[in-house]
Amino acid sequence: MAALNVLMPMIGRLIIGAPAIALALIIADRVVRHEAREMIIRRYLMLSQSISISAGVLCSAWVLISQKPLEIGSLRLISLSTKDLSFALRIDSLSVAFVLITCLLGGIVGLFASRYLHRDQGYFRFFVLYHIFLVGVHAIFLGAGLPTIYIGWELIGITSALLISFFSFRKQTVANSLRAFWAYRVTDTGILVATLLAMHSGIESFTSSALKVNTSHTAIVVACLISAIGKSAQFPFGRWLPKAMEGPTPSSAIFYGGLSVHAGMYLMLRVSSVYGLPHSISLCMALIGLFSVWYATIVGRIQSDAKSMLAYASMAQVGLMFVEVALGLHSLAIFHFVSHAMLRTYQLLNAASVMHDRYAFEHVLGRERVSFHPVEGTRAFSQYAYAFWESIDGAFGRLSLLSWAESMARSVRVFEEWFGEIILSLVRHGMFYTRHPRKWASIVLSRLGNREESI
Amino acid sequence: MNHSQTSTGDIYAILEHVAHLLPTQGPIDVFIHHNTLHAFEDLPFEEAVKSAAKIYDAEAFLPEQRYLEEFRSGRITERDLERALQSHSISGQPLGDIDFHDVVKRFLVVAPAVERFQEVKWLLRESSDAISPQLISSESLISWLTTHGSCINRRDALHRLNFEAAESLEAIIAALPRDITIKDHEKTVLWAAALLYTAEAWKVREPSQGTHSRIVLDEMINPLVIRFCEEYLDLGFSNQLMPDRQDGMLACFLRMVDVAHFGIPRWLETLRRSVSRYRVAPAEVGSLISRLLHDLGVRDEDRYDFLCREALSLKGWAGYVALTERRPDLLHGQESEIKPRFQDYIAIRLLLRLCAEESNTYRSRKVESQSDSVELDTLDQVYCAAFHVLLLFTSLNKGALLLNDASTVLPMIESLLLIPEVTRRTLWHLAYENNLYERALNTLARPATRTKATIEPVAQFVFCIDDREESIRRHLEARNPAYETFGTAGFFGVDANYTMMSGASAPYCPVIIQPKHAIREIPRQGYEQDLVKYRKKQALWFRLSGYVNRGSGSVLHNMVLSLAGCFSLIPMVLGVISPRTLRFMGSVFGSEPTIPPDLHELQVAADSNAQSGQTGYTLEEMAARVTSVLRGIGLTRNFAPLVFLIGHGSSSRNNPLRSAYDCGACGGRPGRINARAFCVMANDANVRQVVKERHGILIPDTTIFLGAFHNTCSDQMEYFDENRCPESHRLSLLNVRTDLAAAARQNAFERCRRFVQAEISNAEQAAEEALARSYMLAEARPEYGHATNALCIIGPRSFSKGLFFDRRSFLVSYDSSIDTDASILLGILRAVVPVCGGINLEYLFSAMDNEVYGAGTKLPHNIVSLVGIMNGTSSDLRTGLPTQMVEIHEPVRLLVVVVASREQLEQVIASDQAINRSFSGGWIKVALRDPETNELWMRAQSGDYTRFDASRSEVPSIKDYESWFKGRAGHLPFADIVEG
Repeated sequence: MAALNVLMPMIGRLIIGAPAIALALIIADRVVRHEAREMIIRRYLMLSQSISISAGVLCSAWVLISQKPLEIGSLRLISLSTKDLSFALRIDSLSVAFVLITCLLGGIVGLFASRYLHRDQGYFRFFVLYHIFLVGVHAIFLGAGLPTIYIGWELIGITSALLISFFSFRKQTVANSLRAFWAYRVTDTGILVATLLAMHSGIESFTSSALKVNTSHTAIVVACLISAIGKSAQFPFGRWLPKAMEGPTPSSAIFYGGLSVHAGMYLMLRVSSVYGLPHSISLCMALIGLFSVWYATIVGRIQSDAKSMLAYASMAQVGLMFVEVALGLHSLAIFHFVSHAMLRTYQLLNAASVMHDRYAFEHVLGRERVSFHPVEGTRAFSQYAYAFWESIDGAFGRLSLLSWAESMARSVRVFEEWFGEIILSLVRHGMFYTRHPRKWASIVLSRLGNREESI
Repeated sequence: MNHSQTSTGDIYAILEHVAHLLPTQGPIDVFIHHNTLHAFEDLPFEEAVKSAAKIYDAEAFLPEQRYLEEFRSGRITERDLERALQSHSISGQPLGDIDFHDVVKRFLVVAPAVERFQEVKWLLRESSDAISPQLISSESLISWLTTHGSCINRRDALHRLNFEAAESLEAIIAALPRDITIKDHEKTVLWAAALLYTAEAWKVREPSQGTHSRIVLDEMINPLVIRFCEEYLDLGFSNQLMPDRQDGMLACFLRMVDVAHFGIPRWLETLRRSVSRYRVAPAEVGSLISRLLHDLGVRDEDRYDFLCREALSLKGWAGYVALTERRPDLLHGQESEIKPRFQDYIAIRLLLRLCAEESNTYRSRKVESQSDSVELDTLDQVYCAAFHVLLLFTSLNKGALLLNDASTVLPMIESLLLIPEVTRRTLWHLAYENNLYERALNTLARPATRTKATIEPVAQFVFCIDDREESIRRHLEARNPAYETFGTAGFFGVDANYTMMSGASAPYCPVIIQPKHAIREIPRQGYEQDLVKYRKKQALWFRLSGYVNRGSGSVLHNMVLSLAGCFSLIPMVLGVISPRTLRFMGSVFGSEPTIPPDLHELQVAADSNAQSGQTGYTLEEMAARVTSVLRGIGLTRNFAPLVFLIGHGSSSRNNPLRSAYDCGACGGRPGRINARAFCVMANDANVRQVVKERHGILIPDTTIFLGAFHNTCSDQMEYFDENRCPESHRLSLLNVRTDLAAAARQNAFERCRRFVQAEISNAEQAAEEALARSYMLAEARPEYGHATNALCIIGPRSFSKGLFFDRRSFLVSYDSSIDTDASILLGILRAVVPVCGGINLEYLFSAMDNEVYGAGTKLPHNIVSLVGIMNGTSSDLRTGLPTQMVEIHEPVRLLVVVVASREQLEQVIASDQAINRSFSGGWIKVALRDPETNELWMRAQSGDYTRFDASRSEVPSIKDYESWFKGRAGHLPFADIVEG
């Protein structure tokens, strides 16, 4: 028993260590060989995922059997005079389900992708990003304190943006990925602020003694709520999700079906159980969740393509999870997460079958052309039209951060002609135009020198 | 604003012309291969490719570097280049004693892989032996510049040549007559660049169009147009369909804009306020378009180009709208609700464009930097051309001539540079193709005496002409010399609609035929109870999965689903890890939409008391079809006791383009019912009586026709109506089945060499792999389909039996001796030219430029509106084939080798216009083998025949196929199996 007590944390480290080591090995292999080898990447992936899954199962079983949390370990990253910033991991009854699902879906989707992306020239890039993502997700779900969660949060943000723009030769793709990235960056200030506030009060670790006090730390919870809304694509900051399906199918599946989109809900779950949830905040959260459900359902109904429909369905269900967390129904929320993650990941992986499945259905049961929500009457029609315009950009498109930047640039005269142009162009076309760095340099220099530049 | 009748009439004519340029791909649940460049079919092939490249902004032929790789690997030889040059007339000055053609050949072969001048400089730095160090001194450079410097001494010219080169040249000229040090190698190239810059070739440069504003407008308009098209053309995917779509696209769009008080993009505000101005009756949309063109400031003579560019901006969607307007029958029975019209589509685009151009958003975005400078491109091209010329001269050992006595060779260099890149690519491409044709004709040129067999056939097999069946036919014939195989169009003459028990009906014949008959699926006698049970199970499963997958847009439904989502773990895990288990479970639960063949029968005969609509065949009709197939393949006597008709199809998961793998002759569907129906017809004693009396073919009573199905993806064989087989034939049936199964395993082994796998070392493993691939969720390449197709051999099997064509040849059985009036050949070519030619050209263009003509990579594909695929959630409809289907394809045109007399062939070509156009335009190449003299002739586009002198020595002889293909993943040479 004592031996197990010593052994378990080491096994726990394997959960996050396996993808990290696989990442390092994959990169090393590429650097040494000057080219990526699919077989090697696939082998490392499968090996690390099997280790990760086994470790996850063992540790979860241990946590469930021994009824107490498992402290996996902590790594001190920055040591300041009075405080330490550490990367600490633990599993407790709250995060058991999340760890298991992460390991499972990570393995399955990784296996799927290793086959699906065969012979694609971005194979190496995909799996590097995938492993970074897995490390980030494990950091979030296993995190024993806000700094750890924040590190994981950032990691999955950047990998999400990079995987959306996987096919970066298309401008639309890059624009959509920048939109997602903007949403992440702006809302990430929330969790950053929360971490700093927590560190200031010394309560950043979830097991810190200062937490015994029965006060609720409203500011921390509100700040985390903002981040959670952004990551989980809830109502005000959720417009990036339907447009984010530009990457390869397995990355869309695991991010927006399985793991990344639930990270916000997990954060609120953790934060509410650790820092308390004042009634006003829970009311807010429930309202946001309900409104997202309504919004996603209304707009999702009219979507004509498989991935958009699934994106809105994800948005709606995560909204329901927010409501459940707000109401304090933690077990229901966790169960909902487990089921929903599996369902949505499968549906997204299977999204290329919808057409033939539908026609098979019609072959067997006869043709069915009834729409479940026929649009009859003016009110229903305005609702339909609202949903139509929302799915393009909509009113809240005007509130989007990109268009804020544009109107800002437009209204400030000097900036519009000079600074704003350059910044906007860099923001929008950064990746697309890096083919011609000399042109950009010459433009900037010419504008500065006011020289007539004909290029 | 004067809208006269003529201008509106013009608009309709212009729109029709424009619509002609668009892709014609309908809903992809039925994928038909056709010529991607059908709009250019009246032009010869090379011209068509060039014109299409200009209009669609696509690649014409493959990039030069690709051809150079093939040259280096030996796929293209110098002899091929010579032949290609001979067929093309390129003239120019010789270089000393070297003929201009040889110069051009060398010029093609030494082309460096550079695109920018920085790459040239890097190459010069890193590989100092790229150009032989015939350095020129600064004096000669300066003196040359002094004499010729006036050409390049202009400020703006230097300025346009950009910094580095401009600085160097400027420095040189400014430093005159002072000495100046320039790096040696760069001096050479710089000098050559300066020299070339004065050459004629660079004076004829067209400035590029102002495309930037169009790109900005497209970015604003396209998302909206795409969304609208998606919603409008939805065949029933979304839970809430657009209301009142029968009013037309324009009316619906304006209605959407009208109602959007809250949420419309800012730049559309003006449209919303003036919506009523644009509500016109459907007949007046033409005049609306004229008005909008006028408002946009488009002059009359530019209207065609303008509308072309508008339509081609989203050519997938525009093409779909235009096609379904012409063919509303493609809309799955929803033509009363969905009314797509191309003119409405254009009107919507023009409306949006008008609003967008006037908006602030556009103005603010337009001010950004203009993209794509012509000047940088010019500099890059001049430098690279200079480097190329220097490499040429170095390889010809004439470097000194160029560097010191340039004026004598300048005209020759100019004529070299004036050969446009497209022509160079064309030459390479012709060489590339000719190599393959030569190899194929060499392989075919074996003496006929060797192949005449006099063994009594034990069983005969009629396959489809599909190139994938070429390998299984070989393996089958290798197992028993008494097996005879034939090839005919996979619908086996059964041109009928197939009506399933559930009522759904679909045509199972080539798309050009409109079926007038219907074959019904009826319960099998004695198995009605089992059938009822099966159907109940099936209905339950589909209802359940419909509830799960269909979604309903209701919150409660979705919540229930996502709470029960744990069950999706099973198909997800099994689909990725163990597809066999999933397939087994699927068959247990009844998840296949078809009814197992042992539970149902086909009613082929006409039913006199049929309720309505189409019915089966009469006796005479059946006899006519049986006869035409038998005569077509030349099987009119010497029947074996067992004759198998083997249809083919494919099964794959997660593949929207599944229909592209099915039988093209069956209209993009599996050929199951055709094989089965033919056998029902041919086994009928009454039909045989009519065939004997009317058509003179005696089918002996001992001959039984049996239907079978070959799944080309999993390499499984399925047999139909075996219970009909009499006792006498049971034993041989068993033997044949064993042989067919073994041949299928060998086939899988031959196919699997293409899939990069580590552990396939025998046929059993390959069969497992093929089966797994057909059911794997994650497999983007379940099979390679028609990839690598290159030939079509029309003639008796004796001419091609035993030859290894690496699954690249369509094989059609044909006996010219019984075809006195060439009518059979006409019928065959009438099928081959659209079907095989269509397949070949579809693969060719999708391989040539996959982004424009093909569908891109499958990875981001998303099914939209149940009609097609897009990338992501908002992009153009992708037409054509994805990279995963064409990545191993060699884009060569189809070579049809006909074993017939010249007169027969010419008679056929003269009597059919489409065939004539294909052959004389060079879209399909033709060769002829005279069955009497056994000579091979190539038919040129002009109609002249040239004898082909075959050299059999180059054709490898092999003992057996397995040793030839085992472990080799690339293209294999054609080979001949050694007798005995």
